[in-house]
Amino acid sequence: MLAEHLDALYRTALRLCRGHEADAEDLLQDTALRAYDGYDRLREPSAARAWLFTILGRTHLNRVRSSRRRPETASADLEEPAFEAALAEWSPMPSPDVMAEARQLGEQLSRALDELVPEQRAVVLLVDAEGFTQREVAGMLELPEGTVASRLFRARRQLRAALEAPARDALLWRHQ
Amino acid sequence: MSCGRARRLLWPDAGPREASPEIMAARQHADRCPDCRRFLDDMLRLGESIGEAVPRPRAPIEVRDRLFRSIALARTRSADRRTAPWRRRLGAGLAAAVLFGGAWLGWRAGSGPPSHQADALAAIAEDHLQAQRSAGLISSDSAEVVGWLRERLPFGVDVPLFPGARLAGARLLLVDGQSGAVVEYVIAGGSLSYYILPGGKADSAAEPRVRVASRAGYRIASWEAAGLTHALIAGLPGPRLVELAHYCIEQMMPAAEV
Repeated sequence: MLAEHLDALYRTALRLCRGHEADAEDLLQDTALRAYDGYDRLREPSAARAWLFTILGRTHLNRVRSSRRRPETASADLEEPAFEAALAEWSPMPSPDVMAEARQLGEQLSRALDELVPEQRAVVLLVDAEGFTQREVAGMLELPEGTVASRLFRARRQLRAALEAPARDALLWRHQ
Repeated sequence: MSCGRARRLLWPDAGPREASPEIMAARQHADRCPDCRRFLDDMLRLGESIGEAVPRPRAPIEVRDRLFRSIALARTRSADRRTAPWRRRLGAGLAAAVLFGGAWLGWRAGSGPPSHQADALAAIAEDHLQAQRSAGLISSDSAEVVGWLRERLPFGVDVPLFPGARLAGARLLLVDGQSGAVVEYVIAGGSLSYYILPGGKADSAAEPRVRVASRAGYRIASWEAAGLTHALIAGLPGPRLVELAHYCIEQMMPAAEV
């Protein structure tokens, strides 16, 4: 079961740990041992993937919390009125060509992901990179769905800002 | 209704929503508001772009090895905690006797009565089902598996490679006081076990004949060579299993000739 999902767990651990391979391996090992200990609690084998990612995500965020000197949630979350205001301020994205170009910018995206706060990084990786729904991620990380939505929006907004300029430059360079 | 409220209510990827009056009003707002429709489309496109741009490296082989080794260690420790040594030895002996005594006798008989052969294959199929939690070596490194088996068996064992299969580890069998081995692989999302048991025809010039049988929903391909009985078991179609058996035999042949 673990072997089947190991590559996906590894790449997510690597990005959660901002590309630090030793930290990612440590997180992966901790996840695997917790999964081994709790294997009897997995009732439905088809839910194994979500279960393993739940352990990975919670283990990572617990480590982040324990490494902080004081709780830090305000920077990651928006209250509903502030969230709605941020949604209303969205400026439309450029042409589809530019965003198609952005899909080639893996290295820039990795760097931009590393700049996110851990709570936003975890949500955007689970939803956009691994394809879990926001509802699933809310259950995995024991968060209200609104909090997941607000973290996802802020993460996407920040990643967009990081990708748009280099994508436009690459497109212009190609057409010269 | 404001654009912010409509976007919040229609926020994509949130799963099915009840068509409440407020949601209906938000939809009517979006139908009339190109900016909100654009926003919803942007969110979907941006999510897709991020998903496609994220690098997808595979877990390096050394990371896999260390990970599975640490699980094997944890498994051994938890087994030690749960079972007193004398009980563990007794339990293992009884289990081995029950599961493999009949199997070994069946294989040794070679052309014995069909019912004995059937019992042997059923015992192997049952072992295959129960194998995942037994102690052994978890490793995807064939050299490590060969070395581990060499230290524990009175005969040499090659670890064959199979197309589309990944080596997962090995474990030992004790049958009527003699040691055998099982090499485990992962193939097509399931498990493939390669059994090597003492007893069987010595080498002959002809390629060994592969026999196929079904037990407990699994297919078993078996053959005899080099004084050993070999068997492959998996939930694969019979022809595929025979093909894998021939891969295995071909890899053994050069070693036998030397």
